[in-house]
Amino acid sequence: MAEESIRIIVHDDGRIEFETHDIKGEACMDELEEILGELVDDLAEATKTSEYHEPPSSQKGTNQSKNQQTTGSGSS
Amino acid sequence: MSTVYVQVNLPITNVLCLDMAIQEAGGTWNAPEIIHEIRRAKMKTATAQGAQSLISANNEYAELLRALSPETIPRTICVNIEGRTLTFIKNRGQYSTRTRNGTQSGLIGAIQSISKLYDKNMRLIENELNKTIQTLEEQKDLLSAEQVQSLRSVIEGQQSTIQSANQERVDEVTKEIEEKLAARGFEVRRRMVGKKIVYQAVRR
Repeated sequence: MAEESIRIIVHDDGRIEFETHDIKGEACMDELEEILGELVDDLAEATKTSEYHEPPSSQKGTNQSKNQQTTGSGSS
Repeated sequence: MSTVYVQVNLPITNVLCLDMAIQEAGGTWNAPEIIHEIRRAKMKTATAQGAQSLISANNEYAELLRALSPETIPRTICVNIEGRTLTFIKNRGQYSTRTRNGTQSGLIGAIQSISKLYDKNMRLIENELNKTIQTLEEQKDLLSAEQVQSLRSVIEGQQSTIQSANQERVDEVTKEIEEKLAARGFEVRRRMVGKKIVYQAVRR
């Protein structure tokens, strides 16, 4: 089974970037909602790649959901 | 029948900037006394006549900026805008509130306006800060040691207000991310890349 992975970057001004790999379909957004839903305002606006539309059983894929969110402001 | 609430957030990474944005949007808030003192001190730096007076004003301003920390900012604030009073609670390094769906007409726009003004003022503050640093670099040979020191104090004070508030937000956000990733069965590797914190989370 493919490894599901999430890469999250927290900038020094509080901005959050994230990217998932091999989490297929709506499970991807569900996962992100659970982890980042209360930290990122417009999670639903995350850029979805073609992998998002693949069925959960599919094994291959790269980038699934990628976004950069400004949750605060400051020196960037 | 269910009631839907809409959450609205206000940034607070720089509370001085938030104060400016609320005022500029035509609102008021129950700013703590230190914010009023900073407003007065900043005004003095703009109107000070003569070197000694300016040094004194700068030193007072810098001291207040250094005293401004996340702990001095109240957990709950009341913002009056568009004829309504909203109570915001500090959470995860920002203020947020909930208002009933359908009752927020005009309110969301006003809050978005504050957020936009906040961003604008933030850039303004950063530009002012960079300009002061540049001026100091260019004129340090012409200014007295006392003048240079007072300007450096102001710069450090402004930088510290930004950094300390940002740090609070980063601490809260990272703690929550780590807990939630672990709870959902991810193995987490954390590393620093420059000033960024990078999490690589894997679930097999």
